[in-house]
Amino acid sequence: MEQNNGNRWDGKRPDPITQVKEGWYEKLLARIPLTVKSLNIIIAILFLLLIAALVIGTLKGNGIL
Amino acid sequence: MKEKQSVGNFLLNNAMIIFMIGAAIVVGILRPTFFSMYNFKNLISNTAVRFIIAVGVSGCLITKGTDLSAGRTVGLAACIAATFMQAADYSSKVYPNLGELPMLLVLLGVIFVSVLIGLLNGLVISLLNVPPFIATLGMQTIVYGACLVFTGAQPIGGLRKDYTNISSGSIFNIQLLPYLGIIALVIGVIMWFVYNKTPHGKYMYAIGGNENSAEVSGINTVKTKLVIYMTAGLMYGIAGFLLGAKSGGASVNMGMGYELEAIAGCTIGGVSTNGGVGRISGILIGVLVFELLKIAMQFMGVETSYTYIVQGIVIIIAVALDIRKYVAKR
Amino acid sequence: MQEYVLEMKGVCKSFPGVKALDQVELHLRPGTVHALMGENGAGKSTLMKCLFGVYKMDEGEIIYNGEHVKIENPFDALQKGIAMVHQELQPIPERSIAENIYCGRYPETKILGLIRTVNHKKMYEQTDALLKGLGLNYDAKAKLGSLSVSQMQLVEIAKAVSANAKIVIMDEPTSSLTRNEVEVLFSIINRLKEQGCSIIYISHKMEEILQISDEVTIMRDGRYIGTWPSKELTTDMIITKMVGRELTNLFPKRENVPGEVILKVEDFTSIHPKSFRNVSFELRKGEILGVSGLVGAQRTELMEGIFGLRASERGTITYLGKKLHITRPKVAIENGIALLTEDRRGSGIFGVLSVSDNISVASLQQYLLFRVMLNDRKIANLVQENVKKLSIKTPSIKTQIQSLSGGNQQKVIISRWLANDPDVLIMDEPTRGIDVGAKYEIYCIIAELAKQGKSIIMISSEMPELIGMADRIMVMCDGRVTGFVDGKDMNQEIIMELATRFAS
Repeated sequence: MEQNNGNRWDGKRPDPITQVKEGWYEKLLARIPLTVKSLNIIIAILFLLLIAALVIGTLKGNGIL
Repeated sequence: MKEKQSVGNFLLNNAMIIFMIGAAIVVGILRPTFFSMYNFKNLISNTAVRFIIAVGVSGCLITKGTDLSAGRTVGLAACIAATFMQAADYSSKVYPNLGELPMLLVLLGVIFVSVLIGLLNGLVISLLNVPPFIATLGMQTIVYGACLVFTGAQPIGGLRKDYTNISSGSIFNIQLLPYLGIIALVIGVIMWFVYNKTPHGKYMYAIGGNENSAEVSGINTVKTKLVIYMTAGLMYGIAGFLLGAKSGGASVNMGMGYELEAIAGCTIGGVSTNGGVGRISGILIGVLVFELLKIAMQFMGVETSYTYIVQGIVIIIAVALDIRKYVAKR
Repeated sequence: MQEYVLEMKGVCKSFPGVKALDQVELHLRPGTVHALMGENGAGKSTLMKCLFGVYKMDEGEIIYNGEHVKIENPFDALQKGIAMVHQELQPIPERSIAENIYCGRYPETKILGLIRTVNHKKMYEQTDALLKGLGLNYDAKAKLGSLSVSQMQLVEIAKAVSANAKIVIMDEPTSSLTRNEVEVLFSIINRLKEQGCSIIYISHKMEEILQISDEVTIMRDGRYIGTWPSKELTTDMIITKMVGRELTNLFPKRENVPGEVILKVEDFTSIHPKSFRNVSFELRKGEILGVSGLVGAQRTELMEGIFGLRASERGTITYLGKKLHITRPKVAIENGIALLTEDRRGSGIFGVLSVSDNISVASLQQYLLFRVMLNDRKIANLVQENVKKLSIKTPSIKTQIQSLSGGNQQKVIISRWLANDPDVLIMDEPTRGIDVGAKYEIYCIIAELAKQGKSIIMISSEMPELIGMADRIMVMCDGRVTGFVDGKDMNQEIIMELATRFAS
């Protein structure tokens, strides 16, 4: 089977096939095995870091640490 | 089963807002002086300026773009405003021979510059198809350079009383109606109207939802995006003008990084990085809570470096929650 | 050996407002091709997405090789030996074919035992071997974007095969393939069967199903109807089971009477040499003009060109005696021309927006108060009217359109265009990906519009559909018009001959 070089881009609107701009977000998400569960864990960890930063920052700022 | 899900989901989707309100309450319990008129006025004036900026950026975000030049544009606007609003008798006045100009004229001049910047952004993004991230990043540097040239890297001070009064005063001197707050409110209402009740607003959401479909439906995507970026410029100009009044001066460092906080405020408030979604009310809440957090941290004496870390984590959590909402839909 | 290599039992899955799967089952025998059929909205794709780990089942169990398994995500599914070829391609055109096939699991070597690098040589070798083994003569190093859509689809299938899958799910694999390529696909499938692979094959094309599959499972409205050996089935039986009622007529009676010529296209040529050239045709009032041709015949491009989405080098469009210079869609719309695009999801719907917004977005100028403000009440009335007139099934007009079925989404887009009262409606594959029942409803809508005097241009790759609905058919091949077939002379052979006249 021969390869077809029929690139249909005509300068006015990107050929939907070679258009990479659209859908980059979906493609990115599809490639990383992100699930609701893993995100929940990530978000939970971030919250813990947040609270830690607040507490440590407060203590340091008040000269306790 | 369904009831439990929606409560759980509501908590998670608004987790940031709930957290930050909770943090404020904790601070209030630890030090009751937190709930003071001073802090309240501070909150309102900070939020007012940041809200206007966030509203400007929101249009870009909703159409799947961004505007990294927001902060520097606000800074430039503040510098220009401050320069031309210096008191006539100030010793280091930049233009000593220029008497006192009418405030409205200066405002218009500032807006002219900021809208021009927005127009340039819009042209590069919609006509040259440069990705908004890159285009506005470049603009950010250009605007900074322009500000350096304009101010000669010198800070500007000695501002007129009628100018700085905008930030400290209130309507008929009623404490609860500060000028800044009212101005922000009026802008919020106008933009709410534009977003929800005009064809332009619908086109904006359409482009963000699916730009291809928008083109097929006959929407002039170039024109709409130009208007969006110019409106953003308008917002930055107004915000910069108000910021100058509020700070009593301006320097080339002003506004640095403001776009990141504006984007954070929008994301916390429900504007999705995936485009096509976002409400003015949400943006107001997002910005408000973020400012509340900053004031709370300052009040509690949190060490400065840690305040930056906290703000950074908040932004990341906001984006993570946004992504989670998108993933959960599948 | 077990009787079934895979069993899905009691599968339930709900989305807001919709119960997509209700106690669905699937029993897959090893080394067979098992077809999964049903109308869109029947739940076939949903069931497969549950199997492939894209969705989480609310209830139900999956028994794989005799053991209960939980599939967490697509990566997990791939590791367990389940691969899926999606209906919508997600290629990375700028990278090589090999990179696309091994995306995310590149063969690696470790430099100094520590630093992981991609082993390009091994990747190209494996890709070449893979492609050759399947009878595909592509260069592993070539950019994916240099292939045609149908070739990319075959590469997508190669990708699934390369994962050493024991179960391959194919979702509408032949939607972009030519007849020759479909035969290539079938030989690939047979090869896979010999290797002990089992295939779940989702398709609407009944002749293909009866040709390639061993068993057929039919679903309807999210429920499992039954499984039958394909030897025992005929097309009519399948339709009856899918729809739940006898369908004696697939196409409605047409009462439209074509009148005088209203649109004349002459020598319309694209600026791109490989696209449409010297296209000339006429369209009459109240006529349904079908447009047939193979994939790659540039039919979509031609219509997009007429609508102002693509640039043309020369040619004239004369509408009601007036020469039109259509530079942007807006010009076409203002002159009463509408275009329903081929790719509903890509350029038709606004997924996150409501049904109401989707219907009103192209006609907002009509609902202005004081020339500035939108009249929400007027919009809501119009939307409700359309929902009723076209029988659009939706929980409310504020529902996000992406939660509607394909057929209902299509009706929403038709409403969008009807709001402008166009005289010419160009419809590109109007019933693609839509179930049999909704197809009939759309045919009725088209017939009714033609009867009212509107002119329809209908691009379709389903010949029975064209023959059943069109007054006249224009056939294209390789960007050129090869001929017109009139109502009485229509049959598949003539159309096919015209469609392949210049094909290599």
